[in-house]
Amino acid sequence: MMNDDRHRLDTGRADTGDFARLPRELSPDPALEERVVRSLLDEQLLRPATRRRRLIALPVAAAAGIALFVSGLLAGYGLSRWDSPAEIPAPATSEADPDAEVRMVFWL
Amino acid sequence: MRDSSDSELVVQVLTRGDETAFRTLYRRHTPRLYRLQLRFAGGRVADAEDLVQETWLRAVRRLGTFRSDGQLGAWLRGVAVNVAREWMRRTNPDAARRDDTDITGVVDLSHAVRFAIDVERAIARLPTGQRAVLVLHDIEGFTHEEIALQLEIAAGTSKSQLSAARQTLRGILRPQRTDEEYA
Repeated sequence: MMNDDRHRLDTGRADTGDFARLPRELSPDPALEERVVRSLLDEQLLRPATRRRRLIALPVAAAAGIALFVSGLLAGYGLSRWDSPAEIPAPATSEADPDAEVRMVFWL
Repeated sequence: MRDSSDSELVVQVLTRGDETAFRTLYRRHTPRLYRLQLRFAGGRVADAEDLVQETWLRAVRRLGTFRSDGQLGAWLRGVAVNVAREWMRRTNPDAARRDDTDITGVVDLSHAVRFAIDVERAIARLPTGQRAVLVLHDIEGFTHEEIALQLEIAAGTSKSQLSAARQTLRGILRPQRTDEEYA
């Protein structure tokens, strides 16, 4: 690939050097890296790094946990209403029959 | 990850879309791509950044065509030249103002650095076609045949553009480089 005809600048002085002395690298603004990565993520040419995925996954998992808890709570409440007898006779504790409580205990 | 070869990182980007692998490739190759695009853009930082971004976007889209036994750096520079060529055709960089040219970015003004700044400024003042050929031939080391292929011009045109570029450069640099200045 390399040509063998590197030009030496003829500017009338021997110490002017040539193009080989020119720097070949220069670091751009660090913000450019984020810009490039963001555009690649937007085009779905890259997947977010693990750390970012974890950051996204955490609130999703928390929301799912809360949803599960609430649905369990509602299901439990619904079942309890379904199973409970419509009327449970209140224990007879009237003053007219003081032994009623004792009989109830025996009955149980 | 940082010690992985380019080919290994390319595979990770291709198969998993691995962001970390891409960032390693980016940090490894962007300084050279950026300098190249900055020269094509005549020293305009904003244009050079756009060109680098487009270079990486296109490179990742076409990463499947990169042969793992090849040199990724050379392949990327080929992509960069294509991007720059299209940009030069699409826009009219010669008509753009050059007030925002930021070539220096240095504090130490030794002779070598001053020489580099002078030459970079002179290159930035060249017409687009001459600048592209001069950068590719004299700095990047491509042959006229390779330049002809990359810029979609005849090899003879590349030679005449180079000759004109060198002549223009001499005209720009001679008045600046006096004995008093570099004594």
